[in-house]
Amino acid sequence: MKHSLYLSTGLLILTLMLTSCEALFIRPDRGTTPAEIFEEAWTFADQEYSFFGFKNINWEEVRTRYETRIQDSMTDEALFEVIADMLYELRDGHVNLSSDFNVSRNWTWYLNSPPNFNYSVLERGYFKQQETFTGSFVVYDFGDVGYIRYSAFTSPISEADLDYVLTKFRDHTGIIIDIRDNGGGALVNATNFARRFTDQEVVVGSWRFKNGPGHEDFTDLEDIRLTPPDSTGFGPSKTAPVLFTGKVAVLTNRSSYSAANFFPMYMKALPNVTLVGDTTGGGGGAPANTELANGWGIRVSASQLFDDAGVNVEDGIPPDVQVNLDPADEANLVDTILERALALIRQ
Amino acid sequence: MMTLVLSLYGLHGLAQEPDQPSRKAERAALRAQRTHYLSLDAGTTYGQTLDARMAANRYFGAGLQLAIGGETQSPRGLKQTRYLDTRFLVLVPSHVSSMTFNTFNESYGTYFRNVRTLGAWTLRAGGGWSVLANARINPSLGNSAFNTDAAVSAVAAGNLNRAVRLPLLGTWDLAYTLRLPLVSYLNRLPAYGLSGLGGTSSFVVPVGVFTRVNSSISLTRPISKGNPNLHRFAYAWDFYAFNDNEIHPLRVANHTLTYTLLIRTGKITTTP
Repeated sequence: MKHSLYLSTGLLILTLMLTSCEALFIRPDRGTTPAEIFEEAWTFADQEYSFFGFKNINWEEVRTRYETRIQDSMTDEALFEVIADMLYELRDGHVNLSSDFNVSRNWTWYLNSPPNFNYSVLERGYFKQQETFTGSFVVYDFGDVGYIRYSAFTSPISEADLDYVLTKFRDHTGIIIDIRDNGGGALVNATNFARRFTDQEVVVGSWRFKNGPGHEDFTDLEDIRLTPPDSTGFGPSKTAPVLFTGKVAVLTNRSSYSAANFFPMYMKALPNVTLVGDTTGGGGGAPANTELANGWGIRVSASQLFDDAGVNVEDGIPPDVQVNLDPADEANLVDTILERALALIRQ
Repeated sequence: MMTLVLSLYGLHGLAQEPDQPSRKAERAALRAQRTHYLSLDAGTTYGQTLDARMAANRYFGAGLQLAIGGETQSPRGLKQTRYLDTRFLVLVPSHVSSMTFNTFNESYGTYFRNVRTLGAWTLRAGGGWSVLANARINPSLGNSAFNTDAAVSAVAAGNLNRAVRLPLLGTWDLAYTLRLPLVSYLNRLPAYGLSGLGGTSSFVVPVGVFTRVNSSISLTRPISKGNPNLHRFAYAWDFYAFNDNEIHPLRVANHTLTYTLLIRTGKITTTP
């Protein structure tokens, strides 16, 4: 009886010890002093960011320059400003610092270029309330040419919407896809949309991902393939997908960014597609995110994207036909870029 | 001579050909003494997670556990199986600016053999297998929102139990169980780059690199007098740590209170 009591007590103590010792193995939260948060943000970018070499940035030198601005007594707003300024040096729209009170960004990739898009011109000069809204698309029928506006790759694209729109324009001379001012979103939407314009598998580019802390630690290049869908729908409603292999013009401007940089890269690899407008904004690096010890979010590009010719598209994809929106045309409710695309298709 | 050698090495099955019918009978008798149960578990769990790959902070939270499995008790030992043991926790960091969902899905089988008796205690030792999939989801992290680990492990296990009489509550079977993976095949998302893109890493690691301690204390007894079904109250502590590098350590700890219903299956014979 005595033995049993000792054994029971011993086991209970052992269990409690095991349970409480988890605190020894799980380190406490990292420090949240300004210097520690600065260091954490710098290190995350140092280990994850994918374009130091491509942009020829000396990240050590950047740290030296900004860490002198860090003081123990500084406010959160002041600390945010220092880290935001440091991240600004990466010249990348996919690099942000987020807090409850602000989100840092570098938007020079489109602010230093002409806008080349005015929705009001489309609405008042062309649509005149005859446009339709199919899922995430604004659709307009020129009679011989179909027009599809897709304003954000964050908006979902359903296979049914694609079937509906492409069936509608099946017998048209061509289709114009307008992704100007499309700031990006989900890559899956770019893939699902683009694969409807080819009837065979095409290698549209390649990409690689950071896989180590070194600035040039990357996975091997991996081909990106565009494959037409086998079927759409489920069960009894399963049907052959509607494809369009006629003439296609994709309208872009500098505000076509991220997934809206991937999409024209996919499309320009297809023989039936012409890019019209301005160079896209870029954003070929898919961003990796983390949360700093004080709860702020930080994200940086963590991959590299190359087109079918092996060119890094981080700075954007030049159009096949460069056209700017003419202010005189704009005043007369004429979209110069759209007109050029219509002419190209009707040639 | 051959028979003698085999007998010396304890390989009676090969050595004692003439006794086959009696061994069969022995086996049948042993089989008849086995008691099978279907086990249904429901529990509440509290835990903390530090996944430095996703965030610098520890996340704390609570959740639910549900499991289904089987248990076989025999005079020689014990077999515990869980076809699916799932836990779902919602965790937040101390500054409550984001939220992480943590799911554990595990299947395991553990086989214990009676080793020795220490007074009223029975010590059992054994081993088994475990297949664990842990997914940590922090929606605010965009492309880095998902982080997963899968581990297939060979497990060493121990069990110590005895009957105890509790004031007003009657007699219960008190058991301590410990499971410790010795070698594991791990599949993880890469430590750098993007979760879900850029492939996964797979490797075999010993205890030390992937360390998991799963211990529990339980009390079990029949639901009522004469009822063939049992019920069990258990407290379990499940801790695991993965050290591929010190930059991105992973630590997961869960404390779970579980109620288990053990429903007797198979042929039930009533004693007069």
